[in-house]
Amino acid sequence: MFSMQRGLAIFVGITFTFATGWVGLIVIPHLQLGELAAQSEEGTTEVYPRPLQGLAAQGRAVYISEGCLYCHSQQVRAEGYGTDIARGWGDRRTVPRDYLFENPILLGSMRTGPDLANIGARQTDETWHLLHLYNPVITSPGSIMPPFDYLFETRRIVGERAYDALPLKDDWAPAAGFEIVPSDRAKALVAYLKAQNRTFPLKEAGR
Amino acid sequence: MSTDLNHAPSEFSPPEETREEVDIQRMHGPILREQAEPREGFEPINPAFTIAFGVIVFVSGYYLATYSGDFRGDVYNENRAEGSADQSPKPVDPLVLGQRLFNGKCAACHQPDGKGRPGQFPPLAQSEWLLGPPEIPVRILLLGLQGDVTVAGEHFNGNMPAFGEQLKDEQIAAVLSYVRQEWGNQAEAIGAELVADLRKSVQRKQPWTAVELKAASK
Amino acid sequence: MNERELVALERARIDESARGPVLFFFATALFWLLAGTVLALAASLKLHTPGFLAGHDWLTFGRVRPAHVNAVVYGWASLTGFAVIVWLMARLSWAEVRYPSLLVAAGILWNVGVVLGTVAILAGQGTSVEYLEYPIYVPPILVAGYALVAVWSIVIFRDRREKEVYVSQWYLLGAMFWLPWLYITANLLLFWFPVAGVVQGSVLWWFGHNVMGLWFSPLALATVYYLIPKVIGRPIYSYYLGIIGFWSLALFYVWLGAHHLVGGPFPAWLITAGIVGSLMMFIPVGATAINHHMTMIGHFGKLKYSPTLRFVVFGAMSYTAVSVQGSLEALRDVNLVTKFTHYTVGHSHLGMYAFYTMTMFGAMYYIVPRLTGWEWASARLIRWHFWSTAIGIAIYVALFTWGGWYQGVMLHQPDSQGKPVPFMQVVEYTRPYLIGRSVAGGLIAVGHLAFTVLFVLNLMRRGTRRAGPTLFHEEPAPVASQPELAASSV
Repeated sequence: MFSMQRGLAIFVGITFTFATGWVGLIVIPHLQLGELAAQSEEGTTEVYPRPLQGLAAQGRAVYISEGCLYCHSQQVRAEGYGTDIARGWGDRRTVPRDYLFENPILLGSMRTGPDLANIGARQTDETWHLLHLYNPVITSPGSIMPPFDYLFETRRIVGERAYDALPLKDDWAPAAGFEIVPSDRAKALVAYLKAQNRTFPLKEAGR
Repeated sequence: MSTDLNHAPSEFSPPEETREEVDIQRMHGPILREQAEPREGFEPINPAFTIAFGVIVFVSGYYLATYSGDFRGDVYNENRAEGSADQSPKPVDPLVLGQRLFNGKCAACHQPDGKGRPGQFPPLAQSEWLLGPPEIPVRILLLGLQGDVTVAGEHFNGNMPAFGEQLKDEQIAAVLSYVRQEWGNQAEAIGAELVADLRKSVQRKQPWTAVELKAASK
Repeated sequence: MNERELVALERARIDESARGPVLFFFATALFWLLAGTVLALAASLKLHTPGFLAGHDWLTFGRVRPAHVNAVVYGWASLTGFAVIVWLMARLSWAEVRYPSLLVAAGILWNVGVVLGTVAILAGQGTSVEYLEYPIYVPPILVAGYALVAVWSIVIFRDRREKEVYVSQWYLLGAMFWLPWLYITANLLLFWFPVAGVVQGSVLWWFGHNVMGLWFSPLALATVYYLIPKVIGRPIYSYYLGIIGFWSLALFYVWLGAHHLVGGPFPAWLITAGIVGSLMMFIPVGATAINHHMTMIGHFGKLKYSPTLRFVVFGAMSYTAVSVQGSLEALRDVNLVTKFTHYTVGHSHLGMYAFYTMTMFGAMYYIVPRLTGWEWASARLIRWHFWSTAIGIAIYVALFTWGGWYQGVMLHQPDSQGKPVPFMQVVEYTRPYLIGRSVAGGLIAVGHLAFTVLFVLNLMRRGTRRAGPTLFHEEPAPVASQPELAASSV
């Protein structure tokens, strides 16, 4: 026999209590932040933020597929709250507008490696990125980041060296007559990393 | 409160016949020795718990009221005094700015201790290129430096990228002033006007080589 | 037959009806525990020895780590959860499971989903959305399997012959209601009709944290509330504390997700709400802890003998520990240090392993012999299991709580000269703790192997037939030709 009172009371209670959090954490933030739009700097035609395009957009898929998020965050905390800004990880904190066109957002929850919200602003050298991905210890001794050598191809040199062959030295250099060349995925990933730049001045971020 | 060992439920009535499909020998061991199904006792709640409850509610309520930025969607800083959306940027001490810039953009190669990496990235500590005439480091930052160069007796052959596009004059001045007084370096600060002048006066677009740089600074 | 035997007979009928599905859930859960342990060890080794098994994309840390997390969350933890839902609901309702083969079908569906998802993550199809890494074609399979389990369990509840709705049942009903709302909403708002920008972050952590607090915690608490009084033969201390514990959990826990957003690009009020909810958790956790403790008073001696009780009480105490730690971790000044560090990994393992997994081990030690009619084969293996896992997880949590805290201090607070500590120095600092965690993980793996041997031996009914429970320190004598039915506890 289904006891209406007891079962129903529990059902109503858990529906109501759950709904309060659902409203608070999902509905209200959606109402408050759902209408945010891109902003333009006064007197210029610059619009910020912009959705990723082309190679950088492809690179985002590589970032997701290789799980970079599990060691790297992409959010800068406010000045005085942590050392993010002192470390040069950004010149201002990040705010919701910075992530307007991201899907999914990749805020991250671990800093086994440095924050990457502005990596494109502080490391513009493509060769550095490629060497670092190939084997992080080359550019950053002591790093525990895994090598992504499978994003590169070892090829026999035919005629001239490829323009984008990695300048590897000493023990890292491939066998004589061979060169190491980034695959399309590696190039796309680097394009994505170089596109990570959230230094555009925004009033609500205090700059 | 006593617990009878195998209290039957309120609506239980024994089955009419024993079910053969249940292996009584097999099931009886662990199941027969079981205690009754669990039930609740009715001890009253200790008043201390109620008081603790009240204290937690009070503290939480105060915290919620104080640090919510008026429940606005555009206030990200919980401290009311600085919480308004249109706060003007605070001026930053140039050396602090320089340090931040260095940490973010230079330390990856030149290392946090300024010693660089042998054969790969030149040191900044006691580097004659950095500590000599201020035009030299400014030029290097504006356009970059490529090819053979000897720094503090060691030989390097690499590629330092240009920062002229991404850094403003004040930023170049700040970061150079900072590194020129870190790690035992003692050279005077560099002003933004010098950077602006050099940016305007230099016509080339490619990175410098060491030889060209020396020649330009004579 | 006397009344006692009739009741036992009825209980046996209920257990018999639940036997197929519950054993299937437990067996497949154990498979995922082992798979998850292998993935965990690989991930742990890779973190301090990045060259370990490097060079293959399907083994890169960024894929192995989410594969591990999902295998233990959706494989081990959820499947033991299903087993416990079905068995507890049937027992407490005094109602049989109807058409149990449909539940086995549900279990098959669920396992198929987890297999597909695990392979997909290793193949690079993971979504990089934490706890929702399975590609878009997997969740519908999981939802279908889950729906069968939930509907069937509600049918058992509807058919109940016991009018009193015991506290464990409230938690089970809550969990069954909350999980589909959480899972379906999160999938819809993150993948099918994605909300814009950072609202995704709020949805994600609303989901992620509520899976812990409104799916796994209720299942484990339901188990604790059942097994402690059952094994010691006393009632739960206070019905009123139970009411407070349940309803305050239901009301406050939903807000906790926002404490993952502290310092992030979110409105201040949202973060504050998450912190406030986290502080309010002292109420349900306190009520539950007092309830369990006062019930156990005078019976702690039984911990020496009963494997079930020892695992379950270990779990229940870990619940209090992880909740207190979590409430404090949410405070802005604490979060400043701990966020993004290994401290949070220690915290999550204190919750999912020391609390949830140890409680489920206790449940399996109790339930499996009642379904197979066979006692555990070896007290020594049980001791190995308990001590390896208990010491292993204690080392794990201690290492990461201590090391993670100082990692956070170095990472997030300026040094004595006001400068940030160079990043590589922080990495170097964590290395010995990461190595220690691999050692702890190895110890835990040994415990899992011991338990697997026990489980398989029990399913296969190997070894001599025993006339009493296998306790920590004694193995009962083998059964004579005319078995005497023991009437003692445990």
